[in-house]
Amino acid sequence: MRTGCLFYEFGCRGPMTHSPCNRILWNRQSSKTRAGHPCTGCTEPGFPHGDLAQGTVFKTQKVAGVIPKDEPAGMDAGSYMALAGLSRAVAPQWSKEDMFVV
Amino acid sequence: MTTMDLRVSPLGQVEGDLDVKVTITDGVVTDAWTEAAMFRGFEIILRGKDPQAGLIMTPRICGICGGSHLYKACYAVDTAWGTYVPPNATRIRNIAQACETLQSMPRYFYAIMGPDLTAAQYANAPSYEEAARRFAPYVGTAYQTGVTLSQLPVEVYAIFGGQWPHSSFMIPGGVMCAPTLSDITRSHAILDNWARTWLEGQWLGCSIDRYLQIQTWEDFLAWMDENESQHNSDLAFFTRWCMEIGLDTYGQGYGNFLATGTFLDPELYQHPTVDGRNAALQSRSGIYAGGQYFDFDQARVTEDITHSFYKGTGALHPWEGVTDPIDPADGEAQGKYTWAKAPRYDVPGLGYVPLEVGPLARQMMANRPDAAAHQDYDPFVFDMISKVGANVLTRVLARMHEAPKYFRSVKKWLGEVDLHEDFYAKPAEPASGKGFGSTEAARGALSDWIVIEDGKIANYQVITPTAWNIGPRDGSENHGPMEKAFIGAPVQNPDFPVELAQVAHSYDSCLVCTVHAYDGKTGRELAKFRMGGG
Repeated sequence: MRTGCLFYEFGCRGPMTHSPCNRILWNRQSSKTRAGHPCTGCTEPGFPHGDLAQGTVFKTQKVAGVIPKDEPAGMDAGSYMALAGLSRAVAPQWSKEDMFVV
Repeated sequence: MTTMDLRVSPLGQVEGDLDVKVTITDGVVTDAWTEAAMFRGFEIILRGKDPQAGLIMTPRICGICGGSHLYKACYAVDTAWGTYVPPNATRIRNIAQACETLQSMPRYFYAIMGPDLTAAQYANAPSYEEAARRFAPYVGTAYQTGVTLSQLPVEVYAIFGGQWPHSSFMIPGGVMCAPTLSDITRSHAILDNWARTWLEGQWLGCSIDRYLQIQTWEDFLAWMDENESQHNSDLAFFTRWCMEIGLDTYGQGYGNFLATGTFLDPELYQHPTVDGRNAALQSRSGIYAGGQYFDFDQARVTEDITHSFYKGTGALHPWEGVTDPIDPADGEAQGKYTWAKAPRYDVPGLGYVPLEVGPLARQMMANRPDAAAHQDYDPFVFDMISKVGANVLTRVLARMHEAPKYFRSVKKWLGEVDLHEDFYAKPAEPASGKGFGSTEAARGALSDWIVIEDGKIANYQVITPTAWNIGPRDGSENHGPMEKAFIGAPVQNPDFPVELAQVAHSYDSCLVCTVHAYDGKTGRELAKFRMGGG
């Protein structure tokens, strides 16, 4: 996908992962998240996260179907959700459009 | 007559752990046992997990062909779930699969096959100096560029898959990426650079188009001496050198082959099914056994565990497959000697025949008549095998012959990607189903069988190309294909049995090998030799 954040629906572990993928780039070209691939946290202890149990692969684990179970270090669920909601609310229309095809 | 047993442990320059035990009589191998020394157990890890768990786990079975694992793992779920896959997604999957193999070919040739071409026992052959100048590990002129430039094709993989190896970007219903125009143009540029510098510039010494005019063994021999540039190419020199040191005289094997094929046609495989797979392949599937072609049917595949460190004996189809490991010490008491199972195929009229997989097998299928318009037809390798036979040289030539063909395919798919169309269609996730996904990794047929029940994996079985090739004897005591290929190989120096390495390396098996030498009469270990010192 070209638009949107992988964190909320696709189980992306980027916010919780300490890895230089996006700084040094893989094969001098790209990274999972740059290519629309949710981070699987493969360099973090506990990989594969959620033990690959039913419903955990490429799906964000949530409390009450809304709040992500894991947040980045230093964030609590409430402030993270408030920040995310605010970002969504003020995002300009162009940021939601598929405008980088050619 | 002198008989001795030799055990190579581990055989070097393969991607894992392989022990080879051979009996040598009067300087020739008369019997062989291949022993996979490591238990993997991915099937056990995956049992009870999310149906998509194979997309994360199986690419990690191998560091060199993880993209191939992903390709077939994805089709296993596509067929089990009955997904729709947009043509664009199939193109991207094909591009990635082919680029991984384009990386593997030169890396294999220079890093795995090349070093033993400079073994000291060949020092008296006329072209030795030239062989060492080109192929000596690390310092050889061809080695350096070949290995270094082999990273370029997987840069293209990373553009679409985010990274290579160990991406999981192929998912049921398509791919995760939605490339932009710059991704496509960058891919063209990287591949063109690779072709100019290595494939055409160093390996072929001519254009891809000129090389692919070759249809017969005579065409190939004429091509070698057509001009100075072709004569001096790595491909032509390698061929001459192999003939000088006799690599065209051993490593035959059974001469029976299996390919499951790869590169699904984007238009013809929008609704992946197990039954519709053969007709939609570009690189065709099939069996060649007893001088005849047969259609590939996954239902005829079994894995025999009579001589493998698993509980029981006999053979099962992978959907019913069981992975129940036992203590190797107990296994040895029952005549078992390896962690690899013995994959077999029930060939109509011939029964469970051991079959060789790999580029030679793929290219044998390419000669089969009645190719559809989208399918690869290429008579060269079949012609070569019918004239000079399967051996170490021709197995390597078949592998390297695919580089220009794959290159041409990738360029075509890159040109066909429609950036404004879909790359993914969200599939339904039915709670039960059976799937079969397969591809051709660089080293041969690679397949997954999945059974989904109650929304979880009830059974998962992987058959790797190396299992087909280095698998042990079966219940009928037929040797595995590589065991068979060792038989008849000369061993000039039992302390440095380079010939065994060359047979093993011609298959590009993904296991590290060791040779142990035993005296056939007393059972005493004579020598332990680690090939390539890797």
